[in-house]
Amino acid sequence: MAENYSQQYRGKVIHVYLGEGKADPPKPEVKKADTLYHKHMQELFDIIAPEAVSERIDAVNTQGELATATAELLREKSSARERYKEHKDFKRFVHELDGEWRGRELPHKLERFLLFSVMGSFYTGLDFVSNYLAEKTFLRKDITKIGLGKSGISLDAADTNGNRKALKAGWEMLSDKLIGLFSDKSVKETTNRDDVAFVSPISDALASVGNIAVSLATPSDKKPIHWLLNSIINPGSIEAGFRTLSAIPLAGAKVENMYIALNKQLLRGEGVLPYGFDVALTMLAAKETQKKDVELVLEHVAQK
Amino acid sequence: MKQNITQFIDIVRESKVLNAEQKRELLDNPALLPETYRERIAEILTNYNDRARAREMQLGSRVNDATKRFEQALDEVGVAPEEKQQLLEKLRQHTATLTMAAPAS
Repeated sequence: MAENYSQQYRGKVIHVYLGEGKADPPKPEVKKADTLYHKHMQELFDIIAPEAVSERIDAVNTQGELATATAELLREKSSARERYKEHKDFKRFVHELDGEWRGRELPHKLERFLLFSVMGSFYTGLDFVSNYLAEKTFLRKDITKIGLGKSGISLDAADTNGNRKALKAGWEMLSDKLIGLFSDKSVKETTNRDDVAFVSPISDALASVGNIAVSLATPSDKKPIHWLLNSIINPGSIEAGFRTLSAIPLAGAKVENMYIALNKQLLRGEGVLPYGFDVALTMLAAKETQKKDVELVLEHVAQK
Repeated sequence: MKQNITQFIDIVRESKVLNAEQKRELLDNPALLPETYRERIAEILTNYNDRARAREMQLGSRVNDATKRFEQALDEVGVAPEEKQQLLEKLRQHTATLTMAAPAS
């Protein structure tokens, strides 16, 4: 306070010295401006606050409308049986129940079934060709080494060191990944959209685990069932299989729901499924190790 | 209100009333939602957005009018231009804070 007075006093002295004749009095308009400012802020608050309240009320009411719409949807979902009692039309009942189970109407079921069957067969064929090419080239029985020098991979017909099996599993994985990419690319090109894909995470994961299971667990690569399994297990064929089954009325609705639920789990990393795949892979690897151990023990006993 | 899935996605994304979780749920796989349900949801969200926009416009216009009156009042009492600018700047910041705090969405 004392400093303020001192400054004001010094101000007066300077003004007098400069010859203005008298010192300026403290500016009253500054105080007036502050008062006006606070008054205006109060006015703004009086304008904005009721709008904020009305917006909040509107938001609550709108959320209520959304909840009602969802509740109506759920109520509608269980009305097909009730309606059947009235119309007694079985075909209509199946159609309506299918729509309820799916949560939507699936158009062109037969066309979908045929299309995805053909697509699945095509991807199975591609996988078969890739396996066949491998068998006829670098996995041929008479090839004893792949690569040069010490860094090469040695092979033998009986596959005593397991390198042939490992190469086969690796090739299977690689060719499957390429088939998956090809199917995604073909869907993108066909639909002319970049934000769509064919293979879903569940098909990809199933193909990975399935391939290892088939590569490790199937003893003979000559059996047709092994060839068939090896060819079917790829992301494209599995995805096409899901979609083919989904196109079947009623049963397909359950497949579709399961497929969606599994994909959601994988995408969000929720539930036991993501860990389930890891567990399956570890168990398969352990099974194979155990088989090898038993073979070694038997061999040792035989030698003795 | 007839609309396709792309329109539905746009409406959900631009909604001022849905929170992030609700948007995620609706956008997760909109093709699986029944068309009638999608239409109803889109109608509710569009109506809300229209009302919110109208409220914003009305609010903006009333705030502008009040600010003009404030400027006139400052001129009338003879506030210096620099000080007036400072006050208006302060006012602009305070108004932004107030209006940002106001919307429920």
